Amino acid sequence: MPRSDRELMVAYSKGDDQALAELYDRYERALVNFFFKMCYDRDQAEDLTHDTFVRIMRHRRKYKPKAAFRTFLYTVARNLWIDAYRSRKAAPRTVSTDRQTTEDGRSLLDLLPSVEDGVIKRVSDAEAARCVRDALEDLPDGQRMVFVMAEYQGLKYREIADILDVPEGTIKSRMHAAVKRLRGILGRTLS
Amino acid sequence: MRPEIVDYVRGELSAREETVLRARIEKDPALERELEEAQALFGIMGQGPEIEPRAALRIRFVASLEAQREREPGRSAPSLGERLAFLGGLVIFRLRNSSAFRVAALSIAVHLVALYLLLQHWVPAQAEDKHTTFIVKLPPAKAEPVGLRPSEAFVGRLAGRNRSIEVKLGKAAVPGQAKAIRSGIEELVGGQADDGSLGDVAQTGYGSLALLAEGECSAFLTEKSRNLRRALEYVAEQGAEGNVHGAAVCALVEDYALSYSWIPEARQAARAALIVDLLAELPRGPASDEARLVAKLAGFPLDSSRLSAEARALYTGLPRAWILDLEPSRLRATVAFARGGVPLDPERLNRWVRPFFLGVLKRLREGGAVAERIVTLQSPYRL
Repeated sequence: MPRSDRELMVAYSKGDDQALAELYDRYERALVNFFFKMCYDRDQAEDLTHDTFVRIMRHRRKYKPKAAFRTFLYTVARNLWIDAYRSRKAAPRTVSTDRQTTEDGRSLLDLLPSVEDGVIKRVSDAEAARCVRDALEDLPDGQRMVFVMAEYQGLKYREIADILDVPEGTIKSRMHAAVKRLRGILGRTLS
Repeated sequence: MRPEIVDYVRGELSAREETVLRARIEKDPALERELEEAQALFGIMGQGPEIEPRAALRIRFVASLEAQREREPGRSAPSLGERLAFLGGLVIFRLRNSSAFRVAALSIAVHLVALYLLLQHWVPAQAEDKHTTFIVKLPPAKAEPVGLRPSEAFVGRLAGRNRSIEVKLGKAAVPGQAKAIRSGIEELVGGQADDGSLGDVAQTGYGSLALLAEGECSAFLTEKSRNLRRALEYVAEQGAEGNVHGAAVCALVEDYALSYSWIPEARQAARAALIVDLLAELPRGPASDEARLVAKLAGFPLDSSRLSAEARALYTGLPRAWILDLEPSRLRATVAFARGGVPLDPERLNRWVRPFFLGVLKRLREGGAVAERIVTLQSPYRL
């Protein structure tokens, strides 16, 4: 029976390196995509993912088994994001959707999955990619992080509140504000 | 769009709240339209591209995990001071209510604890993993030979160089080259100032690189290694005053890469911080680009965003497996080579890098970007 995240982290804090490797396998992709959605830069997303795990290695003894590992992980990730960007007051680098994103030379647009049905059918792949990126980049940092965590990482409001160390009501209002803003940006597409 | 609609689509409502809202939606067409709109919005936003992490990222993680394991080998046995403190504490506890010899015993115990605290105070504070200043002095060379055994990278470099000379020519490429290098090095260290400099910061950097290329390393106890150490200390001091140069940083990075395996952790951290801070001060330009790239690939915690677009492209273009196997001197040569051709001996490249290097060479040659004949340090090498 696979060990839970919490068990693995406790094991790692006691010196079992293999446990962290297992956690890495579980969260590597999610974390890379979290950072990717925040900056749309593959290299930086991977750098920050790596740094997140390095920080976990350094602070493994600070982990309290009461806290969910996922919350602990994203708290570290969020702090790194703040360290990397907000504290330096450097705006996240923006990249063209035509920029090569993958090793085999595909661009951001190439990565967009084909859309089969629903409202999105009316929107071309390229338009959708641009819409998503532009809309996300237009969100204030606080709203963007909440939206990315909720929509792409599947975190609940309660978990996001723990990670960002703010009341759950604040997360709700940020999410609602983000959706309101996105609706304004995507209004034409939605109509 | 009403907040409860957003929460409903996100699955944040309780079962009861959901039931109530569904009932309302069925009766209210406006609410139903809002729901459709919310679903469409999340549908579009959900189409954002997902990326797959590159395999190199995992290799990096494993390398970091191993490095961390080396840094934290586990708790060591209690020191003498700790044992004394424990003994003192035990005595205090046992005799706290005893009248006989109480004062004397307590006095001894207190002295034991005080001795322990004093010992703790005397031990220099260990460097934190985070440094933000330049006020870092390289620790004095240890009395015992810390450099008994050079790292594999170091052995490979010297062995490769010697093998190249022996096998290919049996002598240096240019008549008298080895002798000229030796005399040049003598002149270099002979002119070293009291502050360790070999000229200005740039000259000291280049001079340090020359000493490193000759097999010296700050961890060694040879006379010239001491010269190198003093030169690097000078470079570090200058860095504290914002006087930095790419060649000097390259020298620091390379010395770190060659010596880190036996240098205490504090020194590693100090050096890493030193390099990072130095790099932060470096102006943009080819020399600093190279220094940053070398630092990045030597494993320093350097933000990729500090690399120029060109260096970044090169960095990300190199498969990580090769990068991990590279030593900075080779990498620097490869980087410089990729820019348009520099003296480099493929014999000095390891089995991973060599095919890559030769591939680059071929492509550049096809593109007419490099001269047909690459003159290496040791021997002429024809394509």
